[in-house]
Amino acid sequence: MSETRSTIDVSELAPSALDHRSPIWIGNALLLAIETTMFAILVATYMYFRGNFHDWPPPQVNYQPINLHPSPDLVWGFLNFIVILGAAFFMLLADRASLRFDKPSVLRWTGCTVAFGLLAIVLRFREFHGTQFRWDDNAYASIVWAILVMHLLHLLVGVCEDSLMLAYISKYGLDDKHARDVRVTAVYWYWIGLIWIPLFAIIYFGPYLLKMR
Amino acid sequence: MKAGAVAREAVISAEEDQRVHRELDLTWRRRPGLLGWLETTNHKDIAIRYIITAFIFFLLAGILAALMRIQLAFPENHFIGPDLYNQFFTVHGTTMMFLFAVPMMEAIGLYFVPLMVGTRNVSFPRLNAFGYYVYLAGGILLYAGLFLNIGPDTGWFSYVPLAGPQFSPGKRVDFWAQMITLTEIAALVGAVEIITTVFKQRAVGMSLNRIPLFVWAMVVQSFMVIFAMPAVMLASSYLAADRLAHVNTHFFNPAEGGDALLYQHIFWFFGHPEVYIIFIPATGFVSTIIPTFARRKIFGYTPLVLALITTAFIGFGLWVHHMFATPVPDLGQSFFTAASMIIAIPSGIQIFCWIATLWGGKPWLKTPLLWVGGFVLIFVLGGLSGIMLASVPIDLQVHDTYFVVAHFHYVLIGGAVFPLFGAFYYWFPKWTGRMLSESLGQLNFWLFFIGFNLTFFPMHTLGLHGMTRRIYTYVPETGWGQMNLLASIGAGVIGLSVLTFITNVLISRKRGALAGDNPWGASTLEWATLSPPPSYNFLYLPTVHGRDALWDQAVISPVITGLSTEKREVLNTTMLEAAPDHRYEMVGDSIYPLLLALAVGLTFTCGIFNAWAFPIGALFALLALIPWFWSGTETKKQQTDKADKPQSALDLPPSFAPSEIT
Repeated sequence: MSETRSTIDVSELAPSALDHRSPIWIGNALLLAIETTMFAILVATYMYFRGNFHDWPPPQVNYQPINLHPSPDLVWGFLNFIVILGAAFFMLLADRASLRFDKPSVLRWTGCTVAFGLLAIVLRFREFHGTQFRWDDNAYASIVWAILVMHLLHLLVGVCEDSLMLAYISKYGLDDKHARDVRVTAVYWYWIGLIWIPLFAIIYFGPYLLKMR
Repeated sequence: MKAGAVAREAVISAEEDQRVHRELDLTWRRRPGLLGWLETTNHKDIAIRYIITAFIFFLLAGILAALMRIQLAFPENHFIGPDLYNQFFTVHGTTMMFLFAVPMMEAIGLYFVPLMVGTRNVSFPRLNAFGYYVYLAGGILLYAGLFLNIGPDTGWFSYVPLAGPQFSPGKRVDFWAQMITLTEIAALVGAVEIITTVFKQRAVGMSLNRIPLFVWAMVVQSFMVIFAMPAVMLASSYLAADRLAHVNTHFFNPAEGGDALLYQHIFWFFGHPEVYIIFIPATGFVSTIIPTFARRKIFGYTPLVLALITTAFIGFGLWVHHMFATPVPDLGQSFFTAASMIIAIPSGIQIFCWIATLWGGKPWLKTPLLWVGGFVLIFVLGGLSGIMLASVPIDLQVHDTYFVVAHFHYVLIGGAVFPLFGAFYYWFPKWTGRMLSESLGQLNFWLFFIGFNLTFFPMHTLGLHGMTRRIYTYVPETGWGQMNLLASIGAGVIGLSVLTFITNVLISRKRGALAGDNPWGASTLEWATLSPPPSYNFLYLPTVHGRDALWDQAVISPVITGLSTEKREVLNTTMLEAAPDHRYEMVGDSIYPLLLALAVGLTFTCGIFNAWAFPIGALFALLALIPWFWSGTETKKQQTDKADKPQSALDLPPSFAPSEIT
């Protein structure tokens, strides 16, 4: 029994796509939508708590010396802000290089992102210290720490992902699937950098802009 | 059409069909044995597990409800004490919402969305397997607490300050909080799977305006999951952090600037959309069942899709109506009252479209349609009490009474469980290849319909008479005894109905009438393949030429050829027009999703007791993730297995005549 049938032969189509046409790109974008929602609720929590305090941040009157405006340490915060954006920028270069299938450049720039990512993680611990509060001091401290910790988790994930990719590509080379993975991971890093801009502004400038009720 | 996709007239012989079948089956089916069972990433295997697990949780929660009804049947009853009663209603509500309703809806989506859009699997098969296992871990965690008699006892929404460290010492609430995290990870995973599969893997020709309504419903629901679930994960994580020794944050501690009302805001920002997350897939069932049994195309496809999207948007703007008894500003009350009433409009549009479809068709009153009829009646009643509750003065009077209990059971059971049973009867033939018994189905329906109304209708009156929720007993002088007895008898009838259903399934699974590929003559693509579908779903990926894929094939549509039969390869299409775009090779089966779920589950379980569980657990999770990503599309073992295997796959069954593969 044979039969003539209309067919659409797709064997000549590309075996993968390097951009937003690939499922993993969409999946990653949806993951970032989830994470952005989470940060939005963290910010809402921060603003909600503002209404519960007379001064912002709450003054440390029980400590010696008394600190009436214990705002987070801007120097370390700003330094890390630059480092985080730098990590994202290097990933931009890796992204471009993967479009050219330029394996040495991909390895170099991804390596730079890993290095800057690790530096950002170290500096993040300095930032915790710079908040001048422990997480269990009051609700202000809890939410500031929560935002810093949640962002730290993404830095850790980004560094792990990049390190794994670095190892894989240096062992097996840069095929189109892994070029795509580099590009998707780059989007993740852009997001880590971009989301930190408003979060940084809120944590570090909030104590000045929202100081008075 | 994109360069590279070539339309041809090809002669395909029956022998060629057999060869393609054998190769695809070897490529897509799971390895035999227990390990293969644990490793599988086939969406149908995983969805069926989800469905069975969620149904078991439905039964467990039903048993808890029955025990509570026995306790309340008579005034001053001593069947169960107050402490156990608290645990029962908490676990009952929690199970129904987090372990039954949402997973069940997503599971049916995970089974049918890939079939309805005409592809071979969901976009990220391993992630899908992980989602199921982590959900199972969450469910086991909750019931482990209950069976150890340290189940959560602060209600399904665990309000602070009652659930906070001061008023709920011990670990009870923490079981609840960590269960939330685990099950919501699973819900989010399912949502990402469904959206990506629909966006990227639709059959050629299935442009946005031709997507089946059930698939639309699942996409809209998935987007709601993505924006709602992070809220409850944060609420429960804040709560767990407040309660955990040596962490002791102050999110909900008013003494240190925290806020108990914040918990309610964040919880209901999830909690209200949750209602629609459960209801919207159910409307998808209804929109699928009605045209099939009305024997005509759906009336008002576009308004139905727009109603779904509108519902999703408005659904996020109602949450404060759960908080009318808290100090909400007047303007806020008016705003949320208005929003609560506006959402009746898209629901009304849907109901009218369904009625119009039935009106213009020749209804064929089989069991699935019967359940849909029950749904319309009961859901409309629930909607009416909803309109009453949307008004602040009435809400204040009946807040926390049985009136509210009656309302949400009418909405949730009417809106979700009735269509769900309809869906079971409708799709059972596709799952098993056999029909469920019609006569037992009718009995199942009428027992449920009568039992449901006996149980929940008197609760309206009980609520108006002042019976509050969550009391474990009452004195005879209240005069509530008779109606409570009636409600308890009704619960028994519901129990009989569910037993009838289980009997029906057990009998029909082995001895039901053979269904064939498309027993109902339905229009969507899942009926274009065998029942049950082969591991690879479709011998050749189909193309579609209209909204009702199988009804609109005047001539046999072209089929897709040129995809590898030796790799797990599918076709990716463009997002709007669904034109052929590129090929996509999927990863193979893997044990690592299970290992990761185990690591995550243990992390959150140990995290109930000690904060160090989280960093240590993260290391174990990393150990599972590295080989997950490192192992390529096929593990070495699978390759050797395949090489060793004699080429003796099953032959195509005779019903799989090429003319039906369209």
